[in-house]
Amino acid sequence: MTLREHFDGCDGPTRRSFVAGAASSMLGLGAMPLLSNLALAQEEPAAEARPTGGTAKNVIYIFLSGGMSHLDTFDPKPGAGTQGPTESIKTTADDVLVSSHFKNMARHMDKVAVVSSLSSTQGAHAQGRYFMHTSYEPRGTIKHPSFGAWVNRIDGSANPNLPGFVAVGGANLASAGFFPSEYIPLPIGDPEAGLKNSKRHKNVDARTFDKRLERLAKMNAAFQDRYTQKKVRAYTEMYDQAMNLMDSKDLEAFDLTKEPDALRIAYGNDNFGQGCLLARRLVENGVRFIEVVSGGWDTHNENWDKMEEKCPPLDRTLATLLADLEARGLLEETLVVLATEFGRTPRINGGRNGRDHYPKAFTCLLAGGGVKGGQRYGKTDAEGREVIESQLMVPDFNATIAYALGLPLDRIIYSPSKRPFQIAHKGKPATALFS
Amino acid sequence: MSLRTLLTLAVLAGVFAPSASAQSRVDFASQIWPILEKNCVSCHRAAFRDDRDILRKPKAGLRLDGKNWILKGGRDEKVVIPGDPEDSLLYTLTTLQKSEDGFMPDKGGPLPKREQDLLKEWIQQGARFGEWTNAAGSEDTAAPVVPLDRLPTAIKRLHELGQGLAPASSGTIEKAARAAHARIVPAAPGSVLLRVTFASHENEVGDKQVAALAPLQNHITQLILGRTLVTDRAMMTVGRMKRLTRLDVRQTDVTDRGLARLAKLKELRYLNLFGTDVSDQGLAVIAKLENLESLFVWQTKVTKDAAAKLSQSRPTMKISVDLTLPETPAGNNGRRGRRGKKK
Repeated sequence: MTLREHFDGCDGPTRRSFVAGAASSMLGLGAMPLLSNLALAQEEPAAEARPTGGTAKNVIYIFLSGGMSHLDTFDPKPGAGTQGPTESIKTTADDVLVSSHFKNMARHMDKVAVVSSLSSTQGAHAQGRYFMHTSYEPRGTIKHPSFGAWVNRIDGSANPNLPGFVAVGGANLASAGFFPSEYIPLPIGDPEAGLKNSKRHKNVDARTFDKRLERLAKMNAAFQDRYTQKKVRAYTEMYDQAMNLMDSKDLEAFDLTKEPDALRIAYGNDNFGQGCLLARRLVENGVRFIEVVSGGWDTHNENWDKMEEKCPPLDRTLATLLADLEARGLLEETLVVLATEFGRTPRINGGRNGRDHYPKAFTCLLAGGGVKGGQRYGKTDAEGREVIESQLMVPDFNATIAYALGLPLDRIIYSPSKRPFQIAHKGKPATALFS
Repeated sequence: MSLRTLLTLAVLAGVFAPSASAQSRVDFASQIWPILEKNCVSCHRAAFRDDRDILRKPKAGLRLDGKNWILKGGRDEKVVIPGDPEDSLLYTLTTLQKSEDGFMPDKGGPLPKREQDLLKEWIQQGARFGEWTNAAGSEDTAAPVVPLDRLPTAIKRLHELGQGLAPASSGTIEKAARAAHARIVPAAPGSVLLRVTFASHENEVGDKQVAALAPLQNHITQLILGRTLVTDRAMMTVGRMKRLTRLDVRQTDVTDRGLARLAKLKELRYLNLFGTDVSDQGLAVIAKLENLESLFVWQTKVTKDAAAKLSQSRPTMKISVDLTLPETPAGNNGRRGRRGKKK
């Protein structure tokens, strides 16, 4: 157990550290050194406390922002009145049909579990995304951590130099919530730009730079001695982490030019495609959780034109990602999730030729990480309106991801306001998805 | 004596204390149960009506009067983590100062040091119960902690493979982790078997570092050496890890010579050779690894013919020798198409 993990153990869920925390907020700063030592001696239960699960170690979480139509993608209903002009095709999985936009994915469905029985309680974008990311409905009084922050909080980063949680595109969807600042996802706007501001300024040589840091450390020392608090430490830790990364070979993970052109093109020439390629490189470097966001799925108007525009690029990127992960032998330990905030109405909005928000029934995908491919989990009725088999609420879906990672669903972590929270709230994992 | 010396001594004392008393196996029935019976069970037992007919429930939802209850733990948390006394509340709470919050046993004094050490030893040795199942007169109806039939196959196998093996001491693990610059964690929750990874390329990991893993050769079941500087020499150490199920040496300098050293790894199920210089010759060794299920030889010198032949003789083995990219040209993928390197 490293020193770092001891520190992480500080504000764990135990009764004593809970009380220590409560006491420190009531007694003021003076009591902190003693009490924080006390809490330090106490660690959280590790291995044995976990429910056992799949073989996943890392997650690539692809989020289609806006709400992906389940009928026009992975839960088609050929012949139903609600289907509209979208056609469906057979795949390498016997019981799984997909829409004809997914010709490449059709050849990879033997690796994919289609979860067709998701239901959310949230029908507006911001709330729906929040619910999917955190397993909790939004509350005015607290900001919940995203799943990626939970993974790193519970299991630690596998690479000490890189952030354990990276979010490509779609700022503000993922957050560390009430967790300490070290769990904030590293935002990457443009995956091709590398990691921004990770080089020393050209006018500052190494000596000057070191001198400045020394001076900074001196100025900070007295304050840190007086207030040995997590929040104060977080500032210095942030500097240390940045410095580690600046000199690190691991920085190469962000350099997409190291990839052959053919592969880069196959992933797709847009932010999303290159983001998925970056995600694969980060997985190779031990980053636990990478979210890649694709926007524009809110097809209230001209749903079918939009699908024709949006789906084929997604199809190619996804198919390339799965093939690439598999050929490298990374798919067994990498769980690929395709998620969205809700589905779209089976009823066609005639005036605008579109589909509206539909949290009642929607579809997400899981692949790799010990998930048994080639299956459809759960069912909607013949028109895609109602879940008629194995309904999964959003927390259940997240519990399933946690199960794949072998993370403890019952582990309680207290917020600074001393309220108990769990990685997937009270969700129950769909264990039938695993082989 | 300077403060630093004092600190060092304190640390050393901490390291050596447990091993000093680590003599023989602690017996639950004769050594641990009497401690629990005397100090704990009056509060931590099945709900009962006391002499004033008030219903008394087990405190903190914790019962210590049966094997499965003990393993199940309290309402919120487990109290015994086999192999890890420092993580086990049964040990940590009973070794607090009496004035500290959470101190146990709540009623009555602290346990004598001898009993504290016994608890620690017992947990360290894997918290085994021997024949003992429950206190006389109490029924141990708690469900087993992990119902084995609900586990995915891969995890079940790990449990079977580790059966009968005593957990490696945390000292040995820490020492090896430091020397090898590795991250060493349980291969599956609750398993005594270990997973070793080298994700960061900050510390250059080569054959010397892998050699430092030798003390754990019976416990390592997953070894992820991908993209490190290891060569065939490291495969000597690896070849002795008889419980190895997963070996990843993708993009390293391992060759056919190294593969030859893996011939005895009968449990190996996953072998990742992607981007190495192994050739058709090496496949001969692989063909004899009877449990191998997945083999990755994309971007090696292995020919498609040889792979196809191996696939014929081993039809259940998944062999990845190629990457098929989507057919559709991806030129207009997205609106920007800014690189414009369409080929």
